[in-house]
Amino acid sequence: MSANPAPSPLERRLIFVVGKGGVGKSTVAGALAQMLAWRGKRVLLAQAGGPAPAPRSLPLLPVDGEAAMAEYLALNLPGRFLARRVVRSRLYRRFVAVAPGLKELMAVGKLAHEERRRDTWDAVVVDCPATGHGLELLRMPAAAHDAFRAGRIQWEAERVLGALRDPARTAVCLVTLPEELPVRETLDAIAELERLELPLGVLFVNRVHDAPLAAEEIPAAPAGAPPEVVAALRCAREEAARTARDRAHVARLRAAVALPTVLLPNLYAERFGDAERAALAARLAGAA
Amino acid sequence: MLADLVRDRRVAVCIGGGGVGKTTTAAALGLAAAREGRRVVVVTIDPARRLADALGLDALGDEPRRVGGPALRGELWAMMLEQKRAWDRLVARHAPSDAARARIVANPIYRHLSESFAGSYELMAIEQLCALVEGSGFDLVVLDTPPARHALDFFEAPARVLAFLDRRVVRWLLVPYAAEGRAVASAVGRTGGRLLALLEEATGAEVLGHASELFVALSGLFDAFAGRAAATDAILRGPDTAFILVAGPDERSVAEAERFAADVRALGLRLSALVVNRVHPQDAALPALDAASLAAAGVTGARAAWMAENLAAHRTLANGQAARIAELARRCGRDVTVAVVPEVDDDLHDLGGIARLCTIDPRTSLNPLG
Repeated sequence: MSANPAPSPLERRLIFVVGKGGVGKSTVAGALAQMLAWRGKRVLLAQAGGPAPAPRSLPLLPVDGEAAMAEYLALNLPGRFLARRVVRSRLYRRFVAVAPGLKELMAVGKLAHEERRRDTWDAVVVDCPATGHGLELLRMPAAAHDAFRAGRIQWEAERVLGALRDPARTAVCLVTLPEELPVRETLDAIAELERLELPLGVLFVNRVHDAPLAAEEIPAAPAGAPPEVVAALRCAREEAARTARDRAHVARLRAAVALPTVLLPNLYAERFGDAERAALAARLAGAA
Repeated sequence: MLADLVRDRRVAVCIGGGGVGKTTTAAALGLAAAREGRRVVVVTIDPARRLADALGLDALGDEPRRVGGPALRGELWAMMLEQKRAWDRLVARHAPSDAARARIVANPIYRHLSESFAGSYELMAIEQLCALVEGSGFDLVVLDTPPARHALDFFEAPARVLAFLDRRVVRWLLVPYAAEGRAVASAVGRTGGRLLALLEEATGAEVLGHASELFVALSGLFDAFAGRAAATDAILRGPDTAFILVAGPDERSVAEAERFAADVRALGLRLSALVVNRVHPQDAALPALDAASLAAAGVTGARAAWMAENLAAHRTLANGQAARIAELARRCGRDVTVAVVPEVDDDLHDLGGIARLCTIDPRTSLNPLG
């Protein structure tokens, strides 16, 4: 345990981004990586939840437990050819399927390996699989450590767990929406991460509406008003109502969670592309 | 009416990615059918606690429970399928003795199988589905599936779990290994022998021993699953089963849904319906907003500017969604019924809220307001 206070979460070298499916986790992970790169850091964006659109200029690493296992084997079997045959063998496939947490352990092992490359990276941002499975990635090294009582995998599990639990090196950030289900799942995820003794980082609340008026301040459409005015007033009221609901969820989160919290705006766009990603990264730069 | 999507069907399986409202849609389909007089059971996973409360699922149970509700000419039943309990129940049924059952449940490889192995939940869901279809006298079984990245996850789950449990595949290796140790490894061939040695050194022999013991102990269960595979397949592929793809209107969700639709086709199955939730209503084309008419409504200055900008933003969003949904519907094909569910101004987590969904008419699909 380090005697120095832990660096602030976004200054750490290994940043995991978790969240329920549909909250914008990959988008936020990408924006976070972009923001860190703008600050002059050498950032690797690792995608552990399958491919997702990401800022163009960033180095991307697809993280696949099976491929990592194959690399591990290749290091230990003489010859690449042999390693390839083994990876295709039934025994190997069976073993990987049977062994609890082995795939996830290898995936996190690969990430920890990248984090250790100080000559190459200042930060590794990990876009985790959607929660459920995202926490599986973080939960499994401990399970593997318990299942494999001896041997090299135990040693690897120890090393990986050490990195994951080190607040000087790792932060687990969460992304949520100001809505019932995501908030509930986020609170559950935080409780589990604390049980796993993983250091928590920032909580990002995405798509927060921010109308400058309250619903009561918006007049009703006068009789005979043209349809476009009726529509404008209706949309304004919807936006105001949505803002009020979002603020209530944010308040609930702030009351329940002791993490630094960053609110990200709801960006209306016909298509969410590079410009929108850059806008989000700029917003993070201002807020985080 | 939403009930149209499941008319003349005995089974409705809701598929799709995460965060799109699958569970709510499954509940709405069930409620809609029950209102029409059918005897329906909805099998859900991990519903929001308020939905669970509304459906009377706060008490954990392994059996369907009847849900009370307004205007139900038929019957609505519901159950929440919990993965680990479903496995433990199956093991208890098939274990030759209580001691054997206890050993299985304590085996670390069993814990992996019943809690985290990919496909394990889906297999339980399929087993539950078949039990309800073959047993209980329900006219309609609505199955909610776990969030997935691919439709294949659901359909391939039984094969995956069977492959996991199939002791015959490595009988020539694991059982002799446990009994006679390393000497057998060399008989397996040089590659296999070297790999075994490596894996043994890397993990400790315990893992292989546990696995061996588990596969033998679960062989009765394996035989039961394998024996049912044909019957299960007949239900999933039968004409009475509808696959309903649930999606959201944003880019990520639509891309995911397109993948699901392609996967379903590749499996030789048909989608019967597409439900797109939380769609921003699209106004018919309107004349440009001008300052004078806003002022006449009492709105000026910065407020007026914001309202104009807000209206434009909402329109942009709605246009983008409509274009994506139209393309998704086109890719699904003309024989797929499309239901577009507008965004509502509240979280839908109780029966009253869900009842509102039931009135959505699938035929007024793409332009709810125009």
